[in-house]
Amino acid sequence: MKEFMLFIISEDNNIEKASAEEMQQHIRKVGDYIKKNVKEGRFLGAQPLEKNGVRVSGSKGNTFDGPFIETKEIILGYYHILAKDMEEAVEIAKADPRFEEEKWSIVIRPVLKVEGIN
Amino acid sequence: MTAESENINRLLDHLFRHESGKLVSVLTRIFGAENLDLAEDVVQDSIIEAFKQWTFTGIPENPAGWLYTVSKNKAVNILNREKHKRKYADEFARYSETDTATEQTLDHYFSEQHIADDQLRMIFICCHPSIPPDSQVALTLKTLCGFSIREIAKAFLTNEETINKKLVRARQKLRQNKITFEVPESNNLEKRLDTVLKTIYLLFNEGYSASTGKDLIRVELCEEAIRLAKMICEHDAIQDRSEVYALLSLMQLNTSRFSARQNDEGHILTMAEQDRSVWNKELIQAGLNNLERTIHNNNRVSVYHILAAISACHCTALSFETTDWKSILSLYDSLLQFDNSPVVLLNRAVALSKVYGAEKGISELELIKVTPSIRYYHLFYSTQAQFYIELNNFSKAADCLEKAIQLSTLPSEKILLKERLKTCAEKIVA
Repeated sequence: MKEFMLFIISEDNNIEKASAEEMQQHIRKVGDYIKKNVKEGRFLGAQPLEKNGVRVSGSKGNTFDGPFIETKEIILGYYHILAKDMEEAVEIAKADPRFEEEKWSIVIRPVLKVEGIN
Repeated sequence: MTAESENINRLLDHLFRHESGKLVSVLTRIFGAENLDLAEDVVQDSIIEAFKQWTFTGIPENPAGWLYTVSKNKAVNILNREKHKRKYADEFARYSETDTATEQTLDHYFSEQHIADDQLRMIFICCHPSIPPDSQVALTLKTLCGFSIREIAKAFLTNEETINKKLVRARQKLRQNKITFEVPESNNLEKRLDTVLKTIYLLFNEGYSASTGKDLIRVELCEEAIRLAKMICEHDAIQDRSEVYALLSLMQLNTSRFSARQNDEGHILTMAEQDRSVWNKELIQAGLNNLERTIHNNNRVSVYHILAAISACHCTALSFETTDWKSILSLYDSLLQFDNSPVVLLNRAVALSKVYGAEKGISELELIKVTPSIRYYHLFYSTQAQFYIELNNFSKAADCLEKAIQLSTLPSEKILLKERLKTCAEKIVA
């Protein structure tokens, strides 16, 4: 089993335009999907991320921290999952019920494992 | 779906919509009617936060409480931050001298009784006479019923921009006329309640006159109208409730027949054709109970009383033929004093024909034909056709049906009429 990070990406418009009923439906469907995967051990973690953040950058001993400003696309949260390979990870991502709604994207990045180290 | 998630489903049924209605009401009390848009924004933000978090972490044990806490905290922040910028409801300003005082005072506002009171105030505000009637309905749907602009546009078969304009104008009126957030004084209450009931009935009819399919949104309009009427019935501030009970009864009795109105192919079925076993017995009983309550409450008769009584006659009849047409006829006679529109005249003619025969029905139609609004009304001709069919005069019936088809505007109705025409044509040949 390999580890993957799935980043849930949405455009801000999505959420603002959704109706109360649509949001409720989403909570139920996607919530059930996440719960099921957690229960079956496929998800190691799944958390929402706050909109505000800080970006720390620097080099040669100097660091600056400034506000973290997302543009049109926002990372709303992540799933940390176990899957056999990228193909299975993609299947798991595609099963997310959010794709039945307005535009969503999930970016899948395998966790880098180095032979003999991690 | 597991039993657990089914339960959660039921608990959540319209949770966001209804809780947002309560929250907007309370926050409008706190911020003042001129800051209605701020109240709406705060509630919208809280729901979005719930949406983002509950998806990942699950629904909290007390979801309404969660929403209230989050909304309250946002309100506290706004009030403390903008204490000097905006003008808030005077009574609130008195209490919020320190930041902690603000939070404690707010706790007080979110009690169940206050929420009930504020919702009642909210509906009087939304239905303020200075706001045009269709804007009243839009504002009620947005603030009290938690509908989004998109949903309202869909319900009214128009676009979002139109609805948004109505809402903006309504809020402007509230601001310009410095409307205060309160239940009207007793000398004004009756008149203001009249407007509220008219708006609720307008809302109900929007949902009831579904021209296309079992569109969920339109059924929900009827449900919301009933919910709002119930809310008024249950509040102590409204003492003279006869009319409210009548309206509530009318809506429940009409809604009971909802699912029988169409067949599997989506064609409209007339009252004569409907499968009465499908009529919702619980709603019928509730409607009849509320009709009873009108008798004990007051002696004044309104349009709603008469319409409810007519609907009750239909709902309690085992079949179209065994309906108490005599009572219905006399009820329509009374209704004419309030409303002599084409539909009422035609429905009365049908009742008349049931009591005195189709010939009498036809002569009655000749009498009312003089009204211009009737002469070009497709239902006039379809009713006329129905009488001729009962007299086995199929060629005259066919003529009428052709006129009706020409004048009809709804596709689903045209289909129905064309089918009837076909049946007639077959009988002429035979």
